[in-house]
Formats: sequence, structure tokens, C-alpha cells
Amino acid sequence: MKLKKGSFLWYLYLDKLYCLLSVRNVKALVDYFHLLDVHRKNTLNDILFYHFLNHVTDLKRKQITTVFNMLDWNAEGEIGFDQFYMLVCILLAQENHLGEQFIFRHSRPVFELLDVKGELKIGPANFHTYNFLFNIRKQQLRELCRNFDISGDRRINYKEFKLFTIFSMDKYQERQKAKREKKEKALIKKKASRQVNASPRVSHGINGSESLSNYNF
Amino acid sequence: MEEKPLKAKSLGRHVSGKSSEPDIRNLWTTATLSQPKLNVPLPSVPEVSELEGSSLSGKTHGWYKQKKASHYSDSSWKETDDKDSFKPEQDVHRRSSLRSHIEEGDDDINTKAEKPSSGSSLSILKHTPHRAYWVEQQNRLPLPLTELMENEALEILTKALWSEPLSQLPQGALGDYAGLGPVGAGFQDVSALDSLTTSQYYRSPTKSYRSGIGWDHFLTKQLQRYIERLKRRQNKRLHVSLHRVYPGHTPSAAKYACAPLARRRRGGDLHEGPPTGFTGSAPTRPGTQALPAPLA
Repeated sequence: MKLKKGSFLWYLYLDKLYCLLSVRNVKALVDYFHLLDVHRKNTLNDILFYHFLNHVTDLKRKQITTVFNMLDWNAEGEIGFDQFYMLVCILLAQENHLGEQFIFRHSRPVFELLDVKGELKIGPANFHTYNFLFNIRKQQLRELCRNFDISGDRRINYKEFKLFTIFSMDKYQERQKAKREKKEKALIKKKASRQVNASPRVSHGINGSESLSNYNF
Repeated sequence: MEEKPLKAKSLGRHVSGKSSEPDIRNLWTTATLSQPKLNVPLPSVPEVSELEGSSLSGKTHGWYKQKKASHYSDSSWKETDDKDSFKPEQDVHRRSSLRSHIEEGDDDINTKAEKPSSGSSLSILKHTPHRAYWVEQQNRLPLPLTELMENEALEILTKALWSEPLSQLPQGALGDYAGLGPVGAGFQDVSALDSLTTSQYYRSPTKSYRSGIGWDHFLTKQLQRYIERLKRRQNKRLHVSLHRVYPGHTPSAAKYACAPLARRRRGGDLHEGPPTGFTGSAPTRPGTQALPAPLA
């Protein structure tokens, strides 16, 4: 799922730490919502919602309908600003590769969204249905079902889900750390190779002190 | 010239009420600011009061509106009609497009500033709108982003109104779940029924208002009117930006402010597109400038 480049949502900035919009961004989003809210009911109906998502994302018709049904839990045929805001944050989190962080930060609302039947439990099917939105990998899903189903009913309640989010967040941070270290190592290697390459030229310098100074870091 | 009675009114009130030797500058300023309260028609009063911004911005907004109303009071154009039929547009207009207010108001401010004879009152007037401008500027979006937002909304809404109905599904994939026969409304996509749950129902997606609820439905008409208003506003903004880009080739600001009225009087088309060769201002990514970093 990708946001259309240059669309209004593309200009909004999602805070990386809290996975939320700033007050000013929310205000802008409210204005945008009001522009789309033709009938002044502070809601968007399914047609408007479909055209909105179709315009700003590359989601397919069926996926848009699925998202609408997920947000319109009461089956009122409309979604309010709260749901709209939630959706925008999810979209921006996906766009900025902050999916795991978003689920960790907002585990409760995400769980409630996934719990379509309102049973306070979610199964792998739920994850599978909304995978395009939350981008949970197969490996993660397998781990979730295998390691975090403490009650053993093949479904996950909120506590188990929360544990899973903490675990995946830890893993995510480890991955990030490993990436950073790898990058740093590569940089150090690069620098070292540059120095090695530069040393013959330096040795041909005017005097010895100049060449020595180049080696003193 | 219509302000004269107003000024006289407020002047008289001050003379009788507070001091025998009033400062003419103070009186004039008070008269200007109190104008909307005195003359604004009833429907517009709540709009002014419900403004989210500071009271100062509310006053200026009302002032601009009042100035417009007084300018065109003799014409066939009635602002109240617009308000009744399209409050949302005005609400959004109020919230998001400060610049258009300012641009409309600029001419009025200038003409108004020329009216008082004393130089000091001129300076007072010059300061008042600018302060309001800066106060509002703090709370509002930069213009390119506002334009982008409105253009995008217009595009989405136009699609919602006009887009083609969904192509017919093959008969083999359909099941008569409602038992209404081959032409009945009960035919639905079988594959879509996988997502059917107890708390939800499958909604056959309607692609547009026209194909879904019909062109004569009041919601369709409402959407159509809304789109027309947005288009009109977009055109107006384009004209204003054109004036900024090519000031020598466009009429003066004062004439410009009256252009919509003139077109209405002539019965001309209000939905005319931008002049040829004009590309408009491409919105730049504001990123860090327009939208500041989120509050921690």
C-alpha cells in the first residue's frame, strides 16, 4: 500500500516516536475532512470514503470496502473524524515504515479494529484479512500464534497481543541497532580504505610532519 | 459613502456618553470595529461568534464581510442567500483560506484608509488589519497547502459525483441471495461474501452518487452545488494569483474585488477556467517549514 505522491496526506508529518500527528497537522486534517464532508454531518459515507482512498492510495476496491467495514464497526454506513484520523495515521505509518511502532504505540485501538466481531479475541484470519493495512509479516504471524497464544484457544486476547507488540518492538529495535552498527562498520571500513589509498600520496608530501599530521586522527 | 451615518452614530454616542472632547482617532477606530455588530444581518452573527480564532480575527472577518455587504447592497447579489445555501463552504473558507479574505479585504482596507482625513488614523488602520493578519496567519495553513487541499477535495468530490458505474459482474459469479430473480437487487458477488460477518453486512459498493442514488436525489444535488461553489472559489483564487503574477495585465485590485459581481450582473459564466498559459503555483513540499515538528 502506498500513498499517492504529492497528495495532501503525503505532506503530513507523523511523529516517529509517538506515531501521531502534531496539533497543527490534525487541524489541517480536520479542515480536509470538513471539505470532504459535503453533507455537513461530520461523517464520510461509503462513496466519499471510497473515492478518497482511491484517490490517495493504490488500494483496490475490495480492500477499500474492507477498510470501510472495519472502521464502520456499528454498520452506520458512515465514518466519523476519529476513524478517519486513525486511518490516516495508519496510512502514514505504513508510508514511513513505522508499522511495528504504530502497533506497539496504539495496541489497544489496533486490537479493537482487528477484533471485527467484538469477541475480544482475534484469530490469524483477522490478521490475514487486514495484513495489507498493518503489514504484519508471515513469520511474525507464525510467532504470534505459536508463542503468544498462552490460553491455547488458537486466538489472541488483548494481553497476548500486547505482549506480542512488545516483543516485536524489541526485535524491531534490535534490527535497527544491527543496521546502524553495520552502517558504522561499513563507514569505518571505507575510511580506513581511503586512508590506505591516500597514504602513498601523503608520503610524497613536502615534509615529514605534513604526512604525519594526516595520520593523527 | 455609506459609512457616514455609521460614523456619525458612533460619534454621537461617544460625545453624549463619555467625554466632551473625544479623540477623533479613537472614535473612528471604534466605529470601524463596531460596524459588524451594528449592521450584520442576523444569520451571519453566529458565524462570527463561532470563529475558532481570537476575537480580533473574528472582528476583522466580520468587518470584511460587512464591507462587502455594504458595497453591494444596491445590487441583486444577496450574501444571505449564499450563506443559507452553503454554510459549509463559508465555514471552510473561514477556517482555511485566510489569504482570500485578506485579498478581498485589502482593497477595502486601502479604500477605507484613504477616507479619514488625518494621517494618524490612517496609521492606526494600517496596523489593525495587519495585526489580525499575523494573528490568523499563526493559526492557519500556508496558502499552497490550502490550495492543494481544496483542489484534491474537488477532484475527489467530482469523481464521487460523476464516475462511471461498476462494470457488470459475470452472471456465473452471482448468486440470488435475496430471491429477487435475475434482475433483482439481491444479486451479489459471491467472493465478496467471504467477509460477511455477524456484526457487518456486505455493502455493494456504489461508485458514484449519480449511478447510486440518482441525479435528482437531494444529496446528489447538494454535492453538485458544493462542487460548483468550490470551483467558483478556485477560479476566484486563480484570478487573484494571476493578478499577483501579472499585475500590469489585470485590472486594479478594487475592480478585481467587484469582478464576480460584474459577471453576475452580466449573467456571465462564473465557472470559467484559468487563462491560457497560466499554470498556477505548484505547491512545494512544506515539510519542516509549513508544518512544524509535532509536539512532544
